[in-house]
Amino acid sequence: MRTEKHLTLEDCLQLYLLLDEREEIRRHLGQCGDCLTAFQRMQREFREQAAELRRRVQEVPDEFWRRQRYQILSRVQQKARNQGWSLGPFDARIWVLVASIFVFSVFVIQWAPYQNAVVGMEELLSDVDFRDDRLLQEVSEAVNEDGTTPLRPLDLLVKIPDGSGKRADTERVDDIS
Amino acid sequence: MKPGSIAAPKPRVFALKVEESALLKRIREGETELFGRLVETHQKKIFRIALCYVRDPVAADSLTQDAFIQAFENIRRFREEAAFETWLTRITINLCLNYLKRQKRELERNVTGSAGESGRGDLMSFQVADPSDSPEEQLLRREVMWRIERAISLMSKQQKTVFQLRHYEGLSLEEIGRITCMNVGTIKSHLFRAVQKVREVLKDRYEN
Repeated sequence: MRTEKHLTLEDCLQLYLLLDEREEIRRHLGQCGDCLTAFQRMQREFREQAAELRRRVQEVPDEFWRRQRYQILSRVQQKARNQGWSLGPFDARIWVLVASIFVFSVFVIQWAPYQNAVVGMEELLSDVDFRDDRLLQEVSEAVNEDGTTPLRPLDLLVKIPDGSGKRADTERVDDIS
Repeated sequence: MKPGSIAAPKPRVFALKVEESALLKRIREGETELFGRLVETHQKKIFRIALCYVRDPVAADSLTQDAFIQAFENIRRFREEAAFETWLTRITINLCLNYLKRQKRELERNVTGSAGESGRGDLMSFQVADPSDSPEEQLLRREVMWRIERAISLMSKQQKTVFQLRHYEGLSLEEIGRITCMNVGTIKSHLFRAVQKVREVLKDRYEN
């Protein structure tokens, strides 16, 4: 039975590190003065050792902490500058800016050129005085007009003037026949 | 506190958390100069933790700076599920463990092993003896410290982490769990093994 045996160093260490996990050891400590003294001595020395480190760090001069802070902040500022850190990809301002650019682009592309084109066309038409239409009409009439004499193949034959006054083609036909 | 009971929220802790949360928000929004406040609040603790691991004030200073820089670089990814201090402590421990791994590799690469040790500072040399202590007390204190440090040097990295956070920082098992992402059962198991190492180096002192 645990309560009849004295505590070992391991028991004391476990009690020190795990605290209230070992109720049976605590019970024994309540009954055994020797173990209680041994445990308290160990606990005190361990706590002093841990506190020693804490105390010594606290005793480090302020200058050391100031210098350390300065060096950290210098590096932080450098990082922020190099990486454009102040406006990162998750910054809401970035998305607002992107959305604004998009809306503006849509306005410029879709609406503004159309307005300019309409105004430009109106100006052009007022100056033209429909001369192009008239020209177009004239060309159309010229193309569609069938006022030319149809081609007669016999007209292409060489006319040989002779004294009889007959046409050469007629004579030739006569000769053949 | 009995197991299963819920701790009542402490108003001061809550207020600090709200304040810290607001500070983090402003830093994320670009007020990087406010990061100095976080440094001022946590630098001593972070330095102390680093010193426990590396036993060298120069290296601990460098690791403390690196931990803050790493925290700053990742501050936008920090979701505030844990306190900033918990997160920063985790970063510090990871950096320290990586540092120790590098040190060990360098030591192994060196045939004599002297180069790895010669450049290192010493936790004992960093400490200034308290003039109010008697020589016997100073000697006793040094002996206990030396033995505990010897035991820590024999521990695995997990045992070292849980033991140091429990012994030097006085954190509860739940707090250690939040930092190390281990459950309480695993922490107890590592602490139990750490106790064996401590017992080995202290038995002739306490078991007489």
